[in-house]
Amino acid sequence: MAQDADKKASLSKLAVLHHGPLFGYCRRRLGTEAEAEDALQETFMRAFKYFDSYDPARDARKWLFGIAHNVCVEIARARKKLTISDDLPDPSDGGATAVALERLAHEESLETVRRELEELPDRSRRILELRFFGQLSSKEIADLEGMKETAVRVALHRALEGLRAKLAR
Amino acid sequence: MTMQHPEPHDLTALAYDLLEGPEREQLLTHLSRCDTCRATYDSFREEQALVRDAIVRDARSGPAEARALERTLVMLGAQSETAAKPQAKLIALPAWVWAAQAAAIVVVALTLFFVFKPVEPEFLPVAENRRGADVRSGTALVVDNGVWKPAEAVPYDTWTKAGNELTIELPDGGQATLAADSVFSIALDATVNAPVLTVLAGRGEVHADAKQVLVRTGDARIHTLPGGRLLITVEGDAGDAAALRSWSMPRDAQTQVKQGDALVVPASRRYGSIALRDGESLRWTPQDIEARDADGKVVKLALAAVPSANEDDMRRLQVQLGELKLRLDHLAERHDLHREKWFEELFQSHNRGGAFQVKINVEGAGLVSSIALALGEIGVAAWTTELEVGFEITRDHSRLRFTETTPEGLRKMVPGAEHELFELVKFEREGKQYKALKDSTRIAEYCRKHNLPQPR
Repeated sequence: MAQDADKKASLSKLAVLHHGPLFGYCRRRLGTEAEAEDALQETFMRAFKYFDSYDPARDARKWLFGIAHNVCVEIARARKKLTISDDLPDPSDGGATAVALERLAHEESLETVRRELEELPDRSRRILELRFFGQLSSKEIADLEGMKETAVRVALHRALEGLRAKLAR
Repeated sequence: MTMQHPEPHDLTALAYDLLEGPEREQLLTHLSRCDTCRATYDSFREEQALVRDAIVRDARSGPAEARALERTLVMLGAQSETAAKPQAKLIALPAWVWAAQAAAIVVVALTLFFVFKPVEPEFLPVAENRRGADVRSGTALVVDNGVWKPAEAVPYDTWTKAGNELTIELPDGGQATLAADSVFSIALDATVNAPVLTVLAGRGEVHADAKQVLVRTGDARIHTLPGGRLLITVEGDAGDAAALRSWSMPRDAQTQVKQGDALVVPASRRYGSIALRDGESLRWTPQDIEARDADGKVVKLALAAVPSANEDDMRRLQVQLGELKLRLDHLAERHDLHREKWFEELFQSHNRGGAFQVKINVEGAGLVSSIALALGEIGVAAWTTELEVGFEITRDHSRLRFTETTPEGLRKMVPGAEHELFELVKFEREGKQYKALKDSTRIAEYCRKHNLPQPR
């Protein structure tokens, strides 16, 4: 069994390495920076608690994302709100003058994608977020979501069909 | 025989990097043979990049992440001392309890502040486990309450400004000297799992000692090999501390190798690896990336790589990397290098990202000669440029394409089973270049053997 000091050292290192993507995921899931901060802290509190059950041979990032995912689900349940924030910072904030004209077309497409993502079923959004922040595979996402692996792929594919139609216009 | 196509949702999963292991390999193999699925996959990849950008970009926030990390590290520090005690369940507490506690802490803190009047520290402390780099000389400034303040070290993953000429010890050895007002950070590059020095604005010089040093300027990652020296000039918007974002990109980044060799791996999907030697330089803008030799001429051989499923292209990319490896052999004699490991990691990182479609940038490398042969259902082509020789076989709507710098090297690349076709072509040397010619005698023999009409 690992000593507390060793656990602390290991988890501190993991926190330094992975806090960015974990925070981003929690932020997307919970909607505000304050809640994401809480969730990140709670994630590592649980990681500390269950550290002895962690298999070092496993990818620590996946382990932490599994915990963060559960923390976000519980927070959302407890607070009866699972929202995608409307108050995300304006991407052009602070750097608008530096944005080259050539990027405007990209920004417009991004805006379309953002709008369409808001319309996706929550589960499909979660799949995308677990992929992009946690770099999880469809099997790992299926395990977390309690779905079959094929169902993860089909759900994502169907969800994206609408987006594809919009982007094709 | 009808080709079995993958399910659309599997192509989506592949494009979104959700697949692993043999299934992923099988799909990639299919894509290398099926133009229809390949086109669908390519469009899904384009879409994936956009979706990823939309999801990830706005959710990241440097200051909030730093705050969350700080809180977590403090919690972990306290945790080791109170582990035996039952833990309060953070999320179970109503918001007003937290607000009341926070207010109480503020009152106590203010009271202590006015009673004891703490002396403003000369340098902001940086905890041992948050140090990205130690300062050897000069002043490192970090943003504290919206103002640049001196720090005792360069904190990990934090935009840092050189208050004057600043020399820092890099995490994996080596050092960097940055001119006053340069803005940079030290963080982990997730792709290669190694520390990276990102220069957002200013000028600097990087020395790699016994290990490679990873530098990011603009959208390019530069592996400065052991013993190498790199000069960096970056124009970026770093004046407003509050405006710095994790996705901030400079307007123009120039890098020149002053000693040794370096390998450039641009993050953009449009470009691939570029090997730089002594004196060669690289210029990056949000629109373009360009490598030049010591005389300012565009570097002749650049690889443009985009994610692809073409195994041949992937093989070619690896050959190019292999060439670089050979070029660097002399370095191994002078240094106890981690060279093998480095290349192994580099190869793996390319492999992890899927195969690569490689295009040779023929800018400055004009076509010298070309021939084409139609042999029944088989098409054979060969060509030479100022820099390379190439050979291609087209059969059953699939294409095998090889390029090399010499005919001997090209022959080694062509699979043994295709040597019969390769022998139909001759490459004759003319000065520094080669010329592709048809071998009429062998072509006639081939046609007789396979009952084909003699080509005109």
